[in-house]
Amino acid sequence: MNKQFALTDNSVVVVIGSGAGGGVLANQLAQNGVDVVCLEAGRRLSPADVVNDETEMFGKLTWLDPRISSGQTVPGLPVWTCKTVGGTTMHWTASCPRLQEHEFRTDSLYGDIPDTNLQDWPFDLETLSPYYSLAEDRMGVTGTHNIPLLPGNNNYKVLEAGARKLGYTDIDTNHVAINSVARDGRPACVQSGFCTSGCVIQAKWSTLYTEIPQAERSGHFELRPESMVVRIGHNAQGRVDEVHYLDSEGTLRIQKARAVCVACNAVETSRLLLNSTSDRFPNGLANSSDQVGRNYMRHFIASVVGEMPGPVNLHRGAHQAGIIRDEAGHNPERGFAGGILMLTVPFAPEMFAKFLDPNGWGEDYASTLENYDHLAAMLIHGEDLAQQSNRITLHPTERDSYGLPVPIVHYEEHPNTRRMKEYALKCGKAIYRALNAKKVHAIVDMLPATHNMGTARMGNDPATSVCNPWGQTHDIANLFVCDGSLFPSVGCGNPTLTIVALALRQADYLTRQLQENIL
Amino acid sequence: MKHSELSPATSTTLSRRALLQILLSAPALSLAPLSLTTHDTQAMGLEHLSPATSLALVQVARLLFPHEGLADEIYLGVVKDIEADISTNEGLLHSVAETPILLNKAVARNWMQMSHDAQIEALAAIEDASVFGYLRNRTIESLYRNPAVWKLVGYEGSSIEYGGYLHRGFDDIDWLEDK
Repeated sequence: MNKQFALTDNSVVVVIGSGAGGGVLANQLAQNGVDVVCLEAGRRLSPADVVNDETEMFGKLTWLDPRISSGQTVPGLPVWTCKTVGGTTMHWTASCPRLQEHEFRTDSLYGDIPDTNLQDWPFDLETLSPYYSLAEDRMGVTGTHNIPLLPGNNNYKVLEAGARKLGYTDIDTNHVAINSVARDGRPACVQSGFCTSGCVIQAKWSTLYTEIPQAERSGHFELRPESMVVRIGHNAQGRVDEVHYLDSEGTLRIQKARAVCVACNAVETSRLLLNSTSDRFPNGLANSSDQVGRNYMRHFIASVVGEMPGPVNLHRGAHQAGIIRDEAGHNPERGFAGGILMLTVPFAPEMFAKFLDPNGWGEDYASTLENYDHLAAMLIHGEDLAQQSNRITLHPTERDSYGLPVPIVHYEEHPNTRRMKEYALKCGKAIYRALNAKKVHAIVDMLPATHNMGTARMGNDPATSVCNPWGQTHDIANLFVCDGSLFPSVGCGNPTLTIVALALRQADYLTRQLQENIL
Repeated sequence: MKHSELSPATSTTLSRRALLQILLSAPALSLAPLSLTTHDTQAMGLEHLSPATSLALVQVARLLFPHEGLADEIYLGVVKDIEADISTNEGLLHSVAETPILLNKAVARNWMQMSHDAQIEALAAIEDASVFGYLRNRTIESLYRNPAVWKLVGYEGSSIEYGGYLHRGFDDIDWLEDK
């Protein structure tokens, strides 16, 4: 049943990446009868490879090829993305908020904010809603399609109790793509913890064991793991027609293609487009606007930790099955544009030791760490605003082991984000203080960015955006982008559900274009 | 909220200073002296680190992250990990071996024979040395990845073989007031 396509077969669509964007797009195309070759840089793990061990799984899942940190990024590891079949759906926490209506129209609603490059989405929430619903059903998102919410763990109960004391009301165990009941041939969550290390029992949705095998059963799909794409080539008409990649042996292969979809997460998508230069496209593919790699957005990662009066054992249970949405709206009276979400999060002792105070040591510090079972923690993220100067570029001389230019990830925080973060920390600390926390701590900007977006944004104007509303590049009709790079603005929530919804929408569009011989 | 609470650079400086103050003003600590001698570190048969340096590193690790419930043998594991680092990065040996010398300089005497408080004070004095950051990080990774330390602090490690926590206390909190 596992189909194989010839390198010379120019009828296939090549999808680069097998995560939330690429895995879903490839599968949906295959279900629609389109032949797809999916090239994935990472290995394909077997179920036995996934274990309850953060250190071991970090090594197995993480994209560790060199990236250069610039500006306010974590030195050495500016982003935490995955290099494995399934991409970031392996280490994600499965939190699935939809974008809110106002988050599609930031340019119209947020006013003239200096040093930003805001742009509305080229469509609204209503347009995307049917695809959100399809995505939620496909991924088994709790609290949708009659799927019950997960039960709350101790860390959630602390968050909820503190939040209610402050008058917050929009609190629950979150919409998560983690089975609360057996569904889709996968079991219900047993609250083992370790969401970010891959889910051993596969209760958490990941393309590795949902979309990919389903695509393989269609007879229209071939996955090639350990295939690192180095450039995309085009013909004399300026249409992309081949994808150059290094196979597991390091041998250069060239796969012919009818259309190409780039779904590699913002950093790698930018690098691939920027690196695929030619006489015709000296600044890289689809980059006539000079917007490829720009408007790089992420969510700040601010964690508030409370030393609580009793045991919490925050490591027990699903990581982000707990959320407060009361601060998610756009309410300029707070002193900033956009909103924030507060979610439960656990850390293992090593992470607290490293980051609770990044220079901490000594008796007092060790005693806080020894109090590990009394710690409660939340993660807060908030909307980031597009800035042209935040961008992914290629280092002029540094090369990685593939011979590719090392990407530089540059990010500087906008004053709006700084004000938002101050407010967010105040809210978070108040929650634990309301329950008589002995001490509260903040871990701010210590962890690499996991939500990476904006670097090939959609829009109606080819002068200010890279892709049209379908994720099709303005410059090259048979070249598509299918990941967080597409987001013109990022809202305050985790991006994966939106990436999946966009992938499903793109799959419909691309299938029609192929069937009608437009492409 | 003061801005200083949010700027990483400023807040770490402040809290380090505050921490130092706490450490210096604390009454003499009651941790027992090391139960190990250079015989123990000699017995490890390390290729790169001398027995005396190894013993000093054990003491450094214990002062950085003192847990009374942990045997010195656990801290000895830190030295093994440092030795392993050196075997793949020989450049590290020089700065690690310098550590006791830096500490001796800070007290103008044999650091290992100083009082507990004086040892801490000397350690604080070398905080800005580049090796300090390495030692802190390595000690953290060595200690807080050790199941013996997990047990002490209440982290339970791999759970899936026990069926997760669904029936083992993921929601057993009993000290929150009723809503």
